[in-house]
Amino acid sequence: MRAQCEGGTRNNGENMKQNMLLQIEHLKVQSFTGAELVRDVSFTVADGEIVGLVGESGCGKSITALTVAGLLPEGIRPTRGRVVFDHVDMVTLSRQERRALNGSRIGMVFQDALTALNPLLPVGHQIGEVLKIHTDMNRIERRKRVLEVMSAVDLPNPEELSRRYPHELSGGQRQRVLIAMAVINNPSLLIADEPTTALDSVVQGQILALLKDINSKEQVSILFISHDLSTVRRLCDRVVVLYAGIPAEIGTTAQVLARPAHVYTELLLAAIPTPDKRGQTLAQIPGQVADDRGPVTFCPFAPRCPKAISRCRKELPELREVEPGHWVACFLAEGGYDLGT
Amino acid sequence: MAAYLLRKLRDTIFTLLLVSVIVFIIFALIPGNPARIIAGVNATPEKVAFIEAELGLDQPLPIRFINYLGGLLTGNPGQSLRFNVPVTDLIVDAAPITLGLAFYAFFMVILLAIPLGLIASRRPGGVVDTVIHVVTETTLAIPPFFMAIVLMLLFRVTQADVGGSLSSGEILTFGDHLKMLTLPALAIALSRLAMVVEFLRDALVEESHTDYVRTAKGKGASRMRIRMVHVLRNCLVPTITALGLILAEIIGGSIIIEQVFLLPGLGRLLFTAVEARDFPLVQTIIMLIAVLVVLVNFVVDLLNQFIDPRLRVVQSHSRRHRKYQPTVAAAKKKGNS
Ligand SMILES: Nc1ncnc2c1ncn2[C@@H]1O[C@H](COP(=O)(O)OP(=O)(O)O)[C@@H](O)[C@H]1O
Ligand SMILES: [Mg+2]
Repeated sequence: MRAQCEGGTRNNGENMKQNMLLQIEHLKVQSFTGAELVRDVSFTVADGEIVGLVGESGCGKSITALTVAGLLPEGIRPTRGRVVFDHVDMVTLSRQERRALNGSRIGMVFQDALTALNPLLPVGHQIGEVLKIHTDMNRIERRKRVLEVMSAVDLPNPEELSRRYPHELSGGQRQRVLIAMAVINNPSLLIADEPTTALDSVVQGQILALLKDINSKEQVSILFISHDLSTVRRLCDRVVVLYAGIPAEIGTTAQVLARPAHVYTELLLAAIPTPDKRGQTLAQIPGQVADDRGPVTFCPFAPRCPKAISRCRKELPELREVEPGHWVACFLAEGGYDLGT
Repeated sequence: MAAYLLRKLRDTIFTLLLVSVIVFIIFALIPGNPARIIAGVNATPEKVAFIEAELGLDQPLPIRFINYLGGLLTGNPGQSLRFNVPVTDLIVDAAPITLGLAFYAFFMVILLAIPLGLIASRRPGGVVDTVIHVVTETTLAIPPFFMAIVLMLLFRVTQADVGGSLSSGEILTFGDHLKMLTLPALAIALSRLAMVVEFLRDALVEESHTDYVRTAKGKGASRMRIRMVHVLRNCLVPTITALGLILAEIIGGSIIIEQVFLLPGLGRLLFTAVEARDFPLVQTIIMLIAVLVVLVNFVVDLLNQFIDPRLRVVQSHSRRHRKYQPTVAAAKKKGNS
């Protein structure tokens, strides 16, 4: 058994006992071929918290998010573990029970807002559909609420914009439409899968600010997924670094980004472009996430790890708490690393 | 919109002109002199020449073409050489039967294809899907005239029951027409059904794996809502386009089927006219069908624009809009990271 880390937020100082909105415990997600797309993921999201899920492409971030939202593609399903949302195990819910949660208590924002919206329906209509599904508001009430939420997500000129079609909006506006859809019923949890990846850096900043704003005003917890540690730094309270379907490191943003304990995190950080690194070639982690999704018996990062020792290729490191709330799955973590204690 | 309509009109006129030129040339090339046919086997060369002059057949080809085109445009395509009555009279009698049959078959295709496509796509590769596939493929493989004969035997209907009553000159109500045309229309519809069902079914299956469907599920939409509100709508454009394409085939099909059921439609008229080298009559029938096909394509275009805003040509930023070529595949999931 790998170490439990439900206590991951206990470092949050003053508010000691937070309610855990989402608890993922030893989640394994497999495709019908038996491939382990997510191998053993455990982490929590507390009320009002923003948790970042980071890692390179193919690490299983989206699959984890889709499992929580119950939107896994056909042929892929969780085969082990639990996904507890507000004390209910989502894996055991019926289709109807799921539907009642999606769009009301759980909002979902996807990466590619152009394809994520129906090209044939005006965006206002698509936002209003969520109300149609979950409330018994009439048309006028729905329209009023749609315009309200459209201005809340800073969409200009909601009256006019609501009648436009997705292709007539800018990338940033489309992303805001998706966010409006996700938050219109005041969900407890917002899952945002790379919501800023397709956007230029200015718009990216605006969307991050909007998410932060929604989080602080509405007390919405956010599971924010990104392959980009710099966006996570700006937004998240805590970070889960995922590698090949297994968490490599979990901790507060300050802990993980300032004192990375896992070699993988360290290398990810080195790959972030920053002003003081201008002109230098960016450090790239050589190789890529292995496509082999068989069972793991040793550290999945070892083949790419510049510091790997022989133990790394023999055993699977468990998550260990290296400082309060800071967990890492790396044999090298204690050895040569300054953990700031 | 006005610019769009003008462009469309220009294209339409050009298409129709081209069709008339082609038919004219083909007719000029095939052997057989209508004047000789009219004059009879034993006629003297003088008599044949006289008839030729009377019909304007002694004129050079370009003049004959211009005369003919002028006649068409003024709504007077001239006398039928074979029947010696105005071409329009003949067509007014025959066209309702053929076109009625064609549109009847067309609506049958729509009414059958949409539910079948919806049902087949529910579980792709499942029993129902396979049965529908096999059955529609089979009906595709059977030639419509043979299907017509099979249907007549099956429903114990004779040729006289269908076509005979018409030829007798009775006055028939719309209901009578509908009853009379049901079997012929079914024969045509069945032969064209497979393509539309397959098109719709494939589109439905493909569209149900798109990102916007995932979004709809994320909203908590029911399966029914997802299919009817989101998926089906996105399948309409390719389906309507396919329907537009088969209408020409259906009109062609009804010309053949008329023979089986002894219906005095355009088909019968066309055969007689070609045999008699009755150029005005043939040309007019072909042009009528061409106009219809062009018209249908225009309606298809308008319908698709109504459904898909990306196809709408807005003058102010038409350049940007025309870039979009939404096909079933275009909305397909782009590589997900
Ligand atoms: N629909 C699918 N069918 C099969 N494998 C998939 C599917 N979607 C993703 N995968 C695989 O699951 C693993 C995790 O993917 P994903 O969660 O999308 O990664 P990311 O961290 O980039 O979001 C990858 O190896 C990917 O190839
Ligand atoms: Mg992803």
